[in-house]
Amino acid sequence: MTHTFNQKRFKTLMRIAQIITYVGLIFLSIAFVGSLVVFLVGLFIPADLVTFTLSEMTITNMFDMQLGMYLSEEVMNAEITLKSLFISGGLAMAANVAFVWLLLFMLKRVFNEVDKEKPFSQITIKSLYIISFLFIGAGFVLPIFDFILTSSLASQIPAPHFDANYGLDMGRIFVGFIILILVGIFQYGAFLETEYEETV
Amino acid sequence: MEIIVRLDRVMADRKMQLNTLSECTGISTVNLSKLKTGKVKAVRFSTLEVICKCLECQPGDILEYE
Repeated sequence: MTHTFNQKRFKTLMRIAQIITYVGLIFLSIAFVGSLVVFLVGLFIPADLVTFTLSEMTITNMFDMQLGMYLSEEVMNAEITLKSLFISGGLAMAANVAFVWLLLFMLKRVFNEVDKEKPFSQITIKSLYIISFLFIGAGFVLPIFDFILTSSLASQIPAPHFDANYGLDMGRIFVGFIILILVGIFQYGAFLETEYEETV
Repeated sequence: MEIIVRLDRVMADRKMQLNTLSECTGISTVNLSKLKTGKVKAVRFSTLEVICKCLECQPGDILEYE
Protein backbone atom coordinates (compact mmCIF):
# COMPACT_ATOMS: atom_id res chain seq x y z
CA MET A 1 0.00 0.00 0.00
CA THR A 2 1.46 3.35 -1.01
CA HIS A 3 0.93 6.46 1.10
CA THR A 4 0.47 9.65 -0.84
CA PHE A 5 0.80 13.13 0.55
CA ASN A 6 -0.98 16.04 -1.09
CA GLN A 7 1.57 18.78 -0.40
CA LYS A 8 -0.40 21.49 -2.21
CA ARG A 9 -3.51 20.85 -0.10
CA PHE A 10 -1.43 20.71 3.08
CA LYS A 11 0.26 24.04 2.26
CA THR A 12 -3.13 25.67 1.60
CA LEU A 13 -4.44 24.27 4.89
CA MET A 14 -1.42 25.63 6.77
CA ARG A 15 -1.82 29.05 5.11
CA ILE A 16 -5.50 29.17 6.15
CA ALA A 17 -4.53 28.13 9.70
CA GLN A 18 -1.91 30.88 9.80
CA ILE A 19 -4.44 33.51 8.67
CA ILE A 20 -7.04 32.30 11.21
CA THR A 21 -4.51 32.42 14.07
CA TYR A 22 -3.27 35.84 12.98
CA VAL A 23 -6.79 37.32 12.79
CA GLY A 24 -7.71 35.52 16.03
CA LEU A 25 -4.73 37.05 17.81
CA ILE A 26 -5.74 40.55 16.70
CA PHE A 27 -9.35 40.08 17.89
CA LEU A 28 -8.24 38.49 21.16
CA SER A 29 -5.79 41.32 21.82
CA ILE A 30 -8.66 43.78 21.46
CA ALA A 31 -10.88 41.58 23.67
CA PHE A 32 -8.13 41.38 26.32
CA VAL A 33 -7.70 45.16 26.41
CA GLY A 34 -11.51 45.50 26.54
CA SER A 35 -11.82 43.12 29.47
CA LEU A 36 -9.04 44.93 31.33
CA VAL A 37 -10.83 48.23 30.72
CA VAL A 38 -14.04 46.68 32.10
CA PHE A 39 -12.10 45.49 35.15
CA LEU A 40 -10.49 48.90 35.71
CA VAL A 41 -13.80 50.71 35.24
CA GLY A 42 -15.27 48.33 37.82
CA LEU A 43 -12.52 49.26 40.27
CA PHE A 44 -13.15 52.98 40.03
CA ILE A 45 -16.93 53.30 39.76
CA PRO A 46 -18.93 53.74 43.00
CA ALA A 47 -20.57 50.61 44.36
CA ASP A 48 -24.08 52.07 44.16
CA LEU A 49 -23.72 53.63 40.70
CA VAL A 50 -25.89 51.18 38.82
CA THR A 51 -27.82 48.26 40.18
CA PHE A 52 -30.10 46.00 38.20
CA THR A 53 -32.20 42.91 38.65
CA LEU A 54 -32.54 39.91 36.37
CA SER A 55 -36.20 40.77 35.82
CA GLU A 56 -35.19 44.18 34.43
CA MET A 57 -33.12 42.59 31.71
CA THR A 58 -34.97 43.09 28.45
CA ILE A 59 -33.10 40.57 26.37
CA THR A 60 -35.84 38.48 24.81
CA ASN A 61 -33.91 35.40 23.91
CA MET A 62 -34.42 31.79 24.80
CA PHE A 63 -32.04 31.98 27.77
CA ASP A 64 -33.87 34.93 29.24
CA MET A 65 -37.22 33.17 28.87
CA GLN A 66 -35.83 30.09 30.58
CA LEU A 67 -34.48 32.25 33.42
CA GLY A 68 -37.92 33.69 33.97
CA MET A 69 -39.48 30.26 33.99
CA TYR A 70 -37.11 28.46 36.34
CA LEU A 71 -35.78 31.13 38.73
CA SER A 72 -37.87 32.24 41.65
CA GLU A 73 -39.18 35.78 42.03
CA GLU A 74 -36.71 36.35 44.85
CA VAL A 75 -33.79 35.63 42.54
CA MET A 76 -35.23 37.60 39.65
CA ASN A 77 -35.65 40.68 41.85
CA ALA A 78 -32.28 40.46 43.66
CA GLU A 79 -30.19 43.57 43.11
CA ILE A 80 -26.85 43.06 41.39
CA THR A 81 -24.33 45.90 41.39
CA LEU A 82 -22.55 46.80 38.20
CA LYS A 83 -19.26 47.31 40.09
CA SER A 84 -18.98 43.72 41.30
CA LEU A 85 -20.06 42.39 37.92
CA PHE A 86 -17.45 44.52 36.12
CA ILE A 87 -14.62 43.56 38.48
CA SER A 88 -15.24 39.83 38.63
CA GLY A 89 -16.54 39.58 35.04
CA GLY A 90 -13.66 41.63 33.63
CA LEU A 91 -11.14 39.55 35.52
CA ALA A 92 -12.70 36.23 34.43
CA MET A 93 -12.94 37.42 30.82
CA ALA A 94 -9.33 38.68 30.81
CA ALA A 95 -8.08 35.36 32.17
CA ASN A 96 -10.04 33.32 29.62
CA VAL A 97 -8.99 35.57 26.73
CA ALA A 98 -5.34 35.47 27.85
CA PHE A 99 -5.47 31.66 27.84
CA VAL A 100 -6.84 31.49 24.26
CA TRP A 101 -4.42 34.25 23.13
CA LEU A 102 -1.41 32.29 24.42
CA LEU A 103 -2.79 29.15 22.84
CA LEU A 104 -3.16 30.83 19.43
CA PHE A 105 0.28 32.45 19.76
CA MET A 106 1.90 29.06 20.33
CA LEU A 107 -0.10 27.54 17.46
CA LYS A 108 1.07 30.39 15.21
CA ARG A 109 4.68 29.48 16.06
CA VAL A 110 3.98 25.86 15.18
CA PHE A 111 2.34 26.80 11.85
CA ASN A 112 5.27 29.08 10.99
CA GLU A 113 7.70 26.22 11.57
CA VAL A 114 5.60 23.90 9.39
CA ASP A 115 5.58 26.61 6.72
CA LYS A 116 9.39 26.67 6.86
CA GLU A 117 9.26 22.89 6.22
CA LYS A 118 10.60 22.13 9.71
CA PRO A 119 7.60 20.40 11.33
CA PHE A 120 9.70 18.58 13.92
CA SER A 121 11.91 21.48 14.97
CA GLN A 122 12.77 22.29 18.58
CA ILE A 123 10.53 25.40 18.37
CA THR A 124 7.53 23.17 17.49
CA ILE A 125 8.29 20.80 20.36
CA LYS A 126 8.77 23.67 22.81
CA SER A 127 5.54 25.35 21.66
CA LEU A 128 3.57 22.12 22.03
CA TYR A 129 5.09 21.63 25.49
CA ILE A 130 3.91 25.13 26.46
CA ILE A 131 0.43 24.40 25.00
CA SER A 132 0.12 21.23 27.08
CA PHE A 133 1.14 23.02 30.28
CA LEU A 134 -1.16 25.91 29.37
CA PHE A 135 -4.11 23.51 29.24
CA ILE A 136 -3.12 21.81 32.50
CA GLY A 137 -2.53 25.18 34.19
CA ALA A 138 -5.80 26.57 32.83
CA GLY A 139 -7.63 23.55 34.22
CA PHE A 140 -6.50 24.65 37.70
CA VAL A 141 -6.43 28.45 37.37
CA LEU A 142 -9.41 29.43 35.18
CA PRO A 143 -12.02 27.85 37.50
CA ILE A 144 -10.71 30.23 40.21
CA PHE A 145 -11.81 33.23 38.10
CA ASP A 146 -15.13 31.57 37.31
CA PHE A 147 -15.50 30.92 41.04
CA ILE A 148 -14.82 34.60 41.82
CA LEU A 149 -17.47 35.65 39.28
CA THR A 150 -20.13 33.21 40.48
CA SER A 151 -19.41 33.84 44.16
CA SER A 152 -19.69 37.57 43.51
CA LEU A 153 -23.11 37.00 41.94
CA ALA A 154 -24.10 34.43 44.57
CA SER A 155 -23.37 36.88 47.38
CA GLN A 156 -25.93 39.25 45.87
CA ILE A 157 -28.64 36.75 45.02
CA PRO A 158 -30.53 35.51 48.11
CA ALA A 159 -31.20 32.01 46.88
CA PRO A 160 -29.94 28.97 48.83
CA HIS A 161 -29.50 26.85 45.70
CA PHE A 162 -27.44 29.51 43.91
CA ASP A 163 -23.96 29.00 45.31
CA ALA A 164 -20.41 29.16 43.97
CA ASN A 165 -18.16 26.14 44.04
CA TYR A 166 -14.58 25.73 42.91
CA GLY A 167 -13.97 22.67 40.78
CA LEU A 168 -11.08 21.68 38.58
CA ASP A 169 -11.67 21.77 34.83
CA MET A 170 -10.90 18.12 34.22
CA GLY A 171 -11.55 18.46 30.48
CA ARG A 172 -8.73 20.98 30.03
CA ILE A 173 -6.36 18.99 32.25
CA PHE A 174 -7.10 15.84 30.24
CA VAL A 175 -6.46 17.67 26.93
CA GLY A 176 -3.19 18.97 28.40
CA PHE A 177 -2.04 15.44 29.21
CA ILE A 178 -3.03 14.21 25.73
CA ILE A 179 -0.94 17.00 24.15
CA LEU A 180 1.92 16.10 26.50
CA ILE A 181 1.84 12.55 25.11
CA LEU A 182 1.76 13.97 21.56
CA VAL A 183 4.85 16.05 22.40
CA GLY A 184 6.63 12.80 23.21
CA ILE A 185 5.68 11.47 19.76
CA PHE A 186 6.90 14.74 18.19
CA GLN A 187 10.21 14.39 20.02
CA TYR A 188 10.57 10.90 18.57
CA GLY A 189 9.72 12.38 15.14
CA ALA A 190 12.44 15.01 15.62
CA PHE A 191 14.93 12.27 16.48
CA LEU A 192 13.97 10.29 13.36
CA GLU A 193 14.24 13.45 11.23
CA THR A 194 17.78 14.08 12.53
CA GLU A 195 18.68 10.45 11.78
CA TYR A 196 17.26 10.86 8.26
CA GLU A 197 19.16 14.11 7.69
CA GLU A 198 22.41 12.51 8.80
CA THR A 199 21.98 9.63 6.38
CA VAL A 200 23.30 9.94 2.83
CA MET B 1 36.96 1.66 17.44
CA GLU B 2 34.89 3.20 14.68
CA ILE B 3 34.01 3.13 10.99
CA ILE B 4 36.27 5.45 8.97
CA VAL B 5 35.20 6.72 5.55
CA ARG B 6 38.11 6.54 3.10
CA LEU B 7 36.33 8.23 0.22
CA ASP B 8 38.94 10.98 -0.04
CA ARG B 9 41.71 8.40 -0.45
CA VAL B 10 39.85 6.44 -3.15
CA MET B 11 38.98 9.67 -4.97
CA ALA B 12 42.62 10.77 -4.83
CA ASP B 13 43.74 7.39 -6.23
CA ARG B 14 41.27 7.79 -9.13
CA LYS B 15 42.15 11.50 -9.45
CA MET B 16 38.46 12.31 -9.29
CA GLN B 17 37.08 15.66 -8.17
CA LEU B 18 34.04 16.01 -5.91
CA ASN B 19 32.04 17.71 -8.68
CA THR B 20 32.78 14.90 -11.11
CA LEU B 21 31.73 12.27 -8.58
CA SER B 22 28.61 14.28 -7.85
CA GLU B 23 27.70 14.38 -11.55
CA CYS B 24 28.42 10.67 -11.92
CA THR B 25 26.49 9.52 -8.84
CA GLY B 26 23.71 12.10 -8.77
CA ILE B 27 24.48 12.77 -5.10
CA SER B 28 24.83 16.42 -4.16
CA THR B 29 28.31 17.80 -3.44
CA VAL B 30 27.06 18.80 0.02
CA ASN B 31 26.20 15.19 0.88
CA LEU B 32 29.40 13.87 -0.67
CA SER B 33 31.38 16.39 1.31
CA LYS B 34 29.60 15.30 4.51
CA LEU B 35 30.41 11.69 3.68
CA LYS B 36 34.04 12.53 2.91
CA THR B 37 34.52 14.32 6.21
CA GLY B 38 32.70 11.61 8.16
CA LYS B 39 29.87 13.92 9.27
CA VAL B 40 27.16 11.33 8.62
CA LYS B 41 25.58 8.71 10.83
CA ALA B 42 24.54 6.25 8.13
CA VAL B 43 25.06 5.43 4.45
CA ARG B 44 22.36 3.84 2.28
CA PHE B 45 23.23 0.75 0.25
CA SER B 46 22.00 2.61 -2.85
CA THR B 47 24.46 5.48 -2.14
CA LEU B 48 27.31 3.05 -1.61
CA GLU B 49 26.36 1.22 -4.79
CA VAL B 50 26.53 4.30 -7.07
CA ILE B 51 29.77 5.50 -5.49
CA CYS B 52 31.38 2.07 -5.97
CA LYS B 53 30.11 2.02 -9.57
CA CYS B 54 31.58 5.45 -10.39
CA LEU B 55 34.88 4.87 -8.58
CA GLU B 56 35.11 1.24 -9.73
CA CYS B 57 35.88 0.01 -6.24
CA GLN B 58 34.50 -2.22 -3.48
CA PRO B 59 32.55 -0.95 -0.42
CA GLY B 60 35.48 -2.13 1.70
CA ASP B 61 37.74 0.36 -0.09
CA ILE B 62 35.53 3.22 1.05
CA LEU B 63 34.66 2.06 4.56
CA GLU B 64 37.21 0.87 7.07
CA TYR B 65 36.80 -0.42 10.63
CA GLU B 66 39.51 0.89 12.87
